[in-house]
Amino acid sequence: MNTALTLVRRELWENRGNFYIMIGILFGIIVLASAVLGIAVGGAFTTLHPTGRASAAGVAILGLSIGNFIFLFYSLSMLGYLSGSLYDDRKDGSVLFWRSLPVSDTATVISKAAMAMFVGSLLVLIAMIVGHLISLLALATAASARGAAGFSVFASPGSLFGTWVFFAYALFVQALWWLPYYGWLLLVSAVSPRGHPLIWAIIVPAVAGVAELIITQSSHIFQFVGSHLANSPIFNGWPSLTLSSQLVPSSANLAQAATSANPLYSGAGLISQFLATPSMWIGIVIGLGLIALAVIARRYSASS
Amino acid sequence: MDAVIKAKDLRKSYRKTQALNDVSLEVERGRIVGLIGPNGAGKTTLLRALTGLLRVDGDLDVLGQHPWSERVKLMRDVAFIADTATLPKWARINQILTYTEAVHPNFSRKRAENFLKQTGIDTSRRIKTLSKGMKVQVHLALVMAIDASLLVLDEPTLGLDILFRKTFYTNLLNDYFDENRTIIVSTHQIEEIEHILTDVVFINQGRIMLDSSMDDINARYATVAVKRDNVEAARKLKPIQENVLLGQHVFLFEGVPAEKLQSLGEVSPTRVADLFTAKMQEKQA
Repeated sequence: MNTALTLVRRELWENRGNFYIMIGILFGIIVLASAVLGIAVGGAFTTLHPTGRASAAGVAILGLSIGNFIFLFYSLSMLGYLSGSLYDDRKDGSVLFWRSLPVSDTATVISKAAMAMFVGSLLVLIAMIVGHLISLLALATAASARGAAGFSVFASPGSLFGTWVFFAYALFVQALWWLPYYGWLLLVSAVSPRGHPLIWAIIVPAVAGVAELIITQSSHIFQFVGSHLANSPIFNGWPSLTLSSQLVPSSANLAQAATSANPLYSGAGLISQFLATPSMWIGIVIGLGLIALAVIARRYSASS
Repeated sequence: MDAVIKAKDLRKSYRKTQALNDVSLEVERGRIVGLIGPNGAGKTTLLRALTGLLRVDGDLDVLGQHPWSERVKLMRDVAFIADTATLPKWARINQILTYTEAVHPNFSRKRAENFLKQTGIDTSRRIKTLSKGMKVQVHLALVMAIDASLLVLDEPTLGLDILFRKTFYTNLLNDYFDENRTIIVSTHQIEEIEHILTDVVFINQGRIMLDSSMDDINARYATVAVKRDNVEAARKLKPIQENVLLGQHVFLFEGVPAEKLQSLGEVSPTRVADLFTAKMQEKQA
């Protein structure tokens, strides 16, 4: 346990830029933007919620917008983190130091995958929660200044907490969904000879995809890569939410909305559907296979 | 016999070059072995094979383990400096201490901190801000704080000035070495470490040219500053090397009884560096 925790700390020390600063900067932008937005167009709050009471869907959508925004940029920074994670120490020779300690290559590689999948997701979740609270505070303050019961958003902590649990679940399923990407980046990072691994990570599947197209006239590679990118769990709980937020603000539907099921539940249902698709499990198997190959490549990393 | 390293017929080739060519070697506990050879001789390959960083053919046993398949287990009892600059540049010294303390069962942070205190290097500094000499000192403090049975050093002082080099080996000998430990060190600067070595291994083009204890070297080889009149007589004893320095003929003999040599001139112990040169030339001839 102590070792696992230390491996995580090691990654955070080396990659502060990817894990903290990225999220920190984004979070700062969001807070600033929402504060400005909240004060300038505080009226929007009452427009969205004619009764002055915040709907669960409204609260959730605000939180998820913030969360998705952070996640989007976080994912980009993970491209850099993962592709460099097994490459940088080979390049500067410090791999010889790390491998002179009794830590297995499996533990090292898994720690890097776990950083991107879980530790990073946790940081995104924390940033989302804090950003969510501060944005709501800004909106509520602005709404109250205009005479609406702005602070009622905090009156039902259930919907706040529900949003966070929903987002955490979305992040988790997302991490599994993208496991083949994470595995691929780790493998490329462990084997790429020179030039930034990110270039290889993109060129190799692109060439393989074109080759498949020409040779077998099929496009399984492009379809797999494309569908995993275009269709993501984290953005998938949205249809039901946006739908219910359109319903809820009309005061006539308010009573009905209050008694009907929380829209987050149907959103979560859409995310869960990913777990039932073969594509998810094929991806997980491919991802684990790529990680295993990265471990083997790591063993040979001092061979030249 | 308590062998720490048992290697038999190690072979390793990279594309066209044969880095290790049937290398066999046994090292007993409590020895300080100097691994000496020119660049590209196979020193680094051999040391990396011993520490499980490299896969080689042949039988290899280090502290009862097979290095390649049991690297993690082995590294609990082996400390290793693979090069002068392998510490991660981005890391602070105390981060490295924290990490090593957590993953290494035989590491004493207190010992490392004591060694570092002697060097006067602030442990909150990042590796990239340190001079080359400081980096080596930090790395040495780190490995000396590991209660290891075997210490492997690959050119640990390369590129350092003489003061650092002297301190490095003095510290190693005074604060670390005892009869339960074994040290194997590769270097170019033979003169500086020959007085601390108990054994020397010469390696060239992937082959072991000489594997001998210092005691045996002193018994087997002798350097004689031969008087001018005795030069011809000396040549008849088949010296393995003959040098003329400032008009003085200096011969290196192998396996010639001391009493025969004393009449030729002044006999002195053979320096490892001279023996190394002689062995390398002998090979080429």
